[in-house]
Amino acid sequence: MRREKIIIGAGIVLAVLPFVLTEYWLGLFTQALIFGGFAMGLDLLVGYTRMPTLGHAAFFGLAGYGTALAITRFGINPWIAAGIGVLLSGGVAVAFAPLAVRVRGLTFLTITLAFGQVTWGLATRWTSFTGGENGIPSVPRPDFIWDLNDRTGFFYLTLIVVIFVSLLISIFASSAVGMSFMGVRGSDTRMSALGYNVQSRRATAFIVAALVAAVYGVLSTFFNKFVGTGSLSWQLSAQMLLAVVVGGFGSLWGPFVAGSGLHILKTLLIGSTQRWPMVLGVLYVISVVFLPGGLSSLVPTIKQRMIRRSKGKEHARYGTNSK
Amino acid sequence: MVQTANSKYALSIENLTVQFGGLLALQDVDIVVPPGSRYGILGPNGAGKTTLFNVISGFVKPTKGRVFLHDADISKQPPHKRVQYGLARTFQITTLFSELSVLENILMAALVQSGTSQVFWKPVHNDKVAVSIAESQLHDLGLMHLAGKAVNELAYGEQRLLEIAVALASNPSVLLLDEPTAGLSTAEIKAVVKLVTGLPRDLTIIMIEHDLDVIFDVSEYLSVLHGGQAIAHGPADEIRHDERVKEVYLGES
Ligand SMILES: Nc1ncnc2c1ncn2[C@@H]1O[C@H](COP(=O)(O)OP(=O)(O)OP(=O)(O)O)[C@@H](O)[C@H]1O
Ligand SMILES: [Mg+2]
Repeated sequence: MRREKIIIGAGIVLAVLPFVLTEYWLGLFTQALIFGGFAMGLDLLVGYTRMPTLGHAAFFGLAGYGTALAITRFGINPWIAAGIGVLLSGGVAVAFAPLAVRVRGLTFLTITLAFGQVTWGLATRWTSFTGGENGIPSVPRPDFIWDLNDRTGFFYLTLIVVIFVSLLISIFASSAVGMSFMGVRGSDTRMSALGYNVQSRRATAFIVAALVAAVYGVLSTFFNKFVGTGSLSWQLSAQMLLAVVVGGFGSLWGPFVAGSGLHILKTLLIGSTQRWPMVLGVLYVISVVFLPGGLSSLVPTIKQRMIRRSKGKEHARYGTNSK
Repeated sequence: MVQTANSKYALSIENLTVQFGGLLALQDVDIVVPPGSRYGILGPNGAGKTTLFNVISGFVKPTKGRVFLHDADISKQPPHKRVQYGLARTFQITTLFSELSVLENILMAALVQSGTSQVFWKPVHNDKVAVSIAESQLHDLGLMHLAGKAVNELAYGEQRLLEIAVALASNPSVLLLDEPTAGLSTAEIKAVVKLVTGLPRDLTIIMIEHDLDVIFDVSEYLSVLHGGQAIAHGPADEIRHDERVKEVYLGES
């Protein structure tokens, strides 16, 4: 429960941001939260299950496109459109997962890359429907209890979604299924020998990470009132993969912080340089060489704390059991 | 759990052949294991012992032949389904979850038995049934003091014991042990033998072992593999005196 308390605490602290930040920075932080959340979900796949993907932006972008198209081409209510967007991504993930999880390592990396490129290619070439390189502008934000067209209003919606999704991810990660993901990463032979269907566990991780990406893809589209091919690009996938690496595999909070930080860095740098991929590359090398465990290795891991705690609890538990 | 109390054999292997490219790892092997027995598999390096286990547990597809567990033909089942038939195994090379605690390693097996391995809405440590299965397993084997330790904090001998404990937490009726004492000190070997001989008698144990003292201590029946062929079967005492076996195996060591 400790991690859940930290999430809620952090959420409360972040709630003061609209009072201290300018409009520009508030917008930047809204997006930073979105990408942090995306990276946190990806940690279930890349960190917990050790399935490095270069294609998960596809699920981020597909949900965005699904939402934007439903609203602008079919006049569907933005809330329902958001549901359609998430379902679209989820559906595609369900269809693609059984294929993708049959391979691992480098082959998995390349097959997800290829998959992402197909969605990107589709959005780029099918100009009449997707707007091609121009994307889909003027996507209206939905109506809500408070005004979402206001920066502060949208920030609070984002914050609520981020807290909610992060809590779900946190509980999921500590559940039997979450632990089985770690088992699959440790040894899939052992997992099958214990009675686990390894392929289906891997597929579950894939789909869950896709759903998280989808939720944030919709948020991002509403924030920007726009969706473009960049949301499906392999560069975005790579940036998110890097966020997990830099943040630290399997810590959840590390990838969140790194995902947010990378977005802020990118936005600040992109004004002065077009060399973002190069910056990413350098960051990657630096982090792998000097901080191989990622940001999270700077703080004792949840795991270590859990082990220490269960050591302390042993006696107490014995006391109650042996009455 | 598919179990027939009155089945004649806990495990039977029919006419098993495994070919890896040009290499015949196993050739027309037949083995039957009576329920509740302690069954040893002997054989020099490369004889095909681990391959035999891999076929029984479903990790290697045989070129030919069938595997029955309590009269059920499991030849076509994937490894994870065979667990439901009551099969568990250990690995020659320690295969534990090194990042998890000892308790969590056992929990991974216990969750399948408690039927809660699909639960995603609450922390796994709150799963009272699975945790108590795991704890009582550790308790029964006298390993409770290790519960909170990380696997990589354990001595190698303790890891080998844990490996057996994890397999037992799957609540098997047939347990396959692949060289459980390899690389252990005399004292550690004793601990393993003590653990194995102390297991319930209704559990069928099939053990690959190089240490002859261990194998003759533990097993009642033996099969000897050599170059992929089963060259002798029978009660341990007979095998000990079999001339051919002495020649190919006992003589060498
Ligand atoms: N997956 C595989 N692919 C190709 N050859 C294999 C494979 N597994 C085993 N072999 C070969 O099959 C033969 C039997 O190997 P196996 O591991 O079954 O021997 P073993 O009796 O367990 O030996 P050891 O006592 O050394 O463990 C060896 O020659 C081995 O190299
Ligand atoms: Mg072997």
